[in-house]
Amino acid sequence: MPAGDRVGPLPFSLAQYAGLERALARAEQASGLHFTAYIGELPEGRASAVALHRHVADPATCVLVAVDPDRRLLEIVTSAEIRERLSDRVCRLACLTMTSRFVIGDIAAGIRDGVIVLADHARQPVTLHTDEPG
Amino acid sequence: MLAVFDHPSALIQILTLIGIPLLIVAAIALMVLMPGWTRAGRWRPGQPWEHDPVLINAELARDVTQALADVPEADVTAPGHPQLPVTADVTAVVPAVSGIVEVAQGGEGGASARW
Repeated sequence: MPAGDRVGPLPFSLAQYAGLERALARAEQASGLHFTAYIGELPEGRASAVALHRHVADPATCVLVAVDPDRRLLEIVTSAEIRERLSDRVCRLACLTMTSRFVIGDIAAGIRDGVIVLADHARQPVTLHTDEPG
Repeated sequence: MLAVFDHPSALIQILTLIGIPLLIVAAIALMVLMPGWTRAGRWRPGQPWEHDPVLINAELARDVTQALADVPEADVTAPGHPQLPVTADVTAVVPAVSGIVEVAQGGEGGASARW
């Protein structure tokens, strides 16, 4: 699907969709990483999510959150380059955050909350005090 | 005008005694049900997902369906990409909010979960 193209009715209300887009944009601003969300079928499970991740514009800085509601499957895919900043442990924490929302059927809020967790951990705060002489 | 209320007709009495309570009940019912109407399209667990795939905040060079299908044969069974068991009744196998597993040690990182 090319950029921004959406086929058929959205699975979320416009407010939910806007909130999700806002959360992804803020996460990107805060962390410098590119956050992408996919909601739909993942025929091969994680392998499909990884395949999708490889086809985004810049996979090296992309964090993909893929959700298959039918199979109740959640996949977070990061690249080898950003695993230092966004460890698998943090991804598991985000998974827990998201699935706790998914169980009550709130996919949009789950993704939003998970992305916030991921961005918060991937954020690189500005170092104000260093040992280097000014 | 006031004479109407001093000696109300049967119609006025019916409107007053039945119409006004009905209006109040209708107003309350509307307030209770309206939030549900706005969430009418909301997916609930257990229901089939009948929406087209949505990709938010991404640019793909190709169709999303093609990208999903572009799975190298090795990836499907590679130890770095474990596949959790898929069963018809997921909750019977995996308790709710569980099934979070650590994934790839090599290339891509991340995590998988089922709920």
